[in-house]
Amino acid sequence: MSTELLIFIFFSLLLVFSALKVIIVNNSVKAAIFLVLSFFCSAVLWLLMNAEFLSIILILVYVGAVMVLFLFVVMMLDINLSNIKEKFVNYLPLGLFIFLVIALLLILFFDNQFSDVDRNIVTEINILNDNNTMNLGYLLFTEYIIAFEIAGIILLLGIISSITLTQQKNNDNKYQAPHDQINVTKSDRLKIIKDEEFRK
Amino acid sequence: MMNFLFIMPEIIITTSMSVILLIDLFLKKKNKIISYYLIQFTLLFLIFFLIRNFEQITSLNHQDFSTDIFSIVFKTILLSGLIIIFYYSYNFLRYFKVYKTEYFLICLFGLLGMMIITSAQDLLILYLGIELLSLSLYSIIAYNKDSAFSSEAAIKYYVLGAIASGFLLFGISLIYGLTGTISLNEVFQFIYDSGSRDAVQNVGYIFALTFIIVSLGFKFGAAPFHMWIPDVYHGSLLPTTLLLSSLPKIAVFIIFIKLLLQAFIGLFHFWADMILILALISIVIGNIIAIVQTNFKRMLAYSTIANIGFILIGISLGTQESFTAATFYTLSYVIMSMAIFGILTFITINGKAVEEISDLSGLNENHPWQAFLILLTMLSLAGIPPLIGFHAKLFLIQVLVNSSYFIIALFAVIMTVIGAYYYLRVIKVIYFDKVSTKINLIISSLIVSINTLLLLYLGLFPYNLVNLSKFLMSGFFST
Repeated sequence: MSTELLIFIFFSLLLVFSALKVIIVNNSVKAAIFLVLSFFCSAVLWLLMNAEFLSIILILVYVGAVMVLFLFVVMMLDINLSNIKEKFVNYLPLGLFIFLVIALLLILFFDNQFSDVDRNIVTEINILNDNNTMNLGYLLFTEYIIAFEIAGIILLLGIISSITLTQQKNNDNKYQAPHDQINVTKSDRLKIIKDEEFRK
Repeated sequence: MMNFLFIMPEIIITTSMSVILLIDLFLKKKNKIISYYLIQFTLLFLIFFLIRNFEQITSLNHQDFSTDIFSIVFKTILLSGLIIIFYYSYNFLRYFKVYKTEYFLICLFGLLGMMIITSAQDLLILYLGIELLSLSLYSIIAYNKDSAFSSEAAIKYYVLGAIASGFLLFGISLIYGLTGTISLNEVFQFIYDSGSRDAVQNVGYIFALTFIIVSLGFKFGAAPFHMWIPDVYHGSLLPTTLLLSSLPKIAVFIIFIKLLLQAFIGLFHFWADMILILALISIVIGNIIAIVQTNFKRMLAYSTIANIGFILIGISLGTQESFTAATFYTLSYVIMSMAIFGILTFITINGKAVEEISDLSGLNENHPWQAFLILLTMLSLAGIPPLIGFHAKLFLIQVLVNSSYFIIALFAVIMTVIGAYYYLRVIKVIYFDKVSTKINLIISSLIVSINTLLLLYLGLFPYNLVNLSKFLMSGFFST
């Protein structure tokens, strides 16, 4: 047994274990951390396929940025999952049934559809005679330039729409207005009332 | 030097969006109308550009991004539809003081997505176009922040839409794994060459197709995946509903053509039944549940589901005639839904937008012309001659009979008759009920009258639209 296979078996088992833990574990913070672990394991699997750029991106973007933000959100929210857990047993038979059907289909699918499983498409694409990252960059900016630009436009849309949705001023929001606060005069704040009754 | 003419419309629209976004930042609130006119000018200019360079653009041949007559004609239809929609939306948003230029800019992003969809020759670009379209729709649904309904609808649509996109991507990745290509024509060629028609050998394709069709059914709003439509139609602002019920339907129909007709026609036996089941369930659910609705927008939402069922019947037969009938149905449905929602954007009930059907009671007494326009659209939706809705249903049922699907044809006719009930109820409320509300019009209804009378005109002389649909579909069946 080669070292590569050993590493593959170890990390794929760890991946399955951590992915299961994500849905089983009760504490949502722990679930998020197990998700980080499963991302890490899949990054190692990418690395085994010589796709080093994708694996590093997975760790940088998902583990470094997305999951950290996600953890912040999870820590700030106070969600009680016990209500959802109660119904878990009720749905178990149906869930198991669907799981088995899809698993059977997938086994059938992978059994006779892929003839040449030993092909490694990542190492096959070698245009520049250089590493995977160079090839990927070259392809992105030549063959897939239209798709790449459209992805950029989708990000621009994301920025514009999120700003539009959050920048609407609600009347019940409380915010400071420094200009008005500085320019108050004595008469705005203080009202002198002559109380005739009191004098008597 | 590469020739960029094939993607020039998209470049123009992206550039002008960015420029208008910047200009709008420096405009005072009362001058925001300038950016509205700039947007409309951009759209008009694009139509002019497409017509002017028609010959030159259609002669180009790019492998990922087709600029054939099919895509150019659909782009022109989408652009002119959006101009009218923007006209309706602008007056509505201005009147209710929720106008923001960003609303139209987000719609323009959606238009860009639809234009990319019409041109895509590649599963990756097609997917990105769908994402661009859906993302812009999510944002404009959430635009009405004051309403809890709107936020609920937006969240629901966003979460379900993300799952549907995931399904689509999973299906596409399986197709890529099986064929080793993402180009639509090459996928077609691969399936054609492999030749086997055995279900066990094709289990991979069926598996992938199921995911793709589930996701497309969701995007289209076909029946088992229709739950978002009533909530979204009900929750969002009227202009959003207007946009949502018209142009994206054309776009999703084009996706169906691209995927099922262009790429997977070799697997026709496998997808035909799936689509037919979706179609029949949609017609039943749409027509039956619409009967009990009291909210106008909810009722129209269920009527949309029923109409989508009719379009899907046309798709499921897979012949040239059926696809022509489905194209005709889609185009005429879009004109109808633009007309009805266009009329609703002009009417205010006690200073608010139209919600319930009973809001419109006795409309005929004070506004007979508007009542007549609603009468026309309702009769057209119900499929009563001589309006265009009649021809749309007639062609579809004719195709069904010609392909000897008698039971389904009979079923479609019965369901149409059931559907007529809730359309006619609106007419009854408008003409025979007592006035109970104070109804005002926002501005004069010249454009919407033209839009509605188009239903009558096309109903009397449908052959231009029939020939257009025939012409659009002929390219896919010539080989």
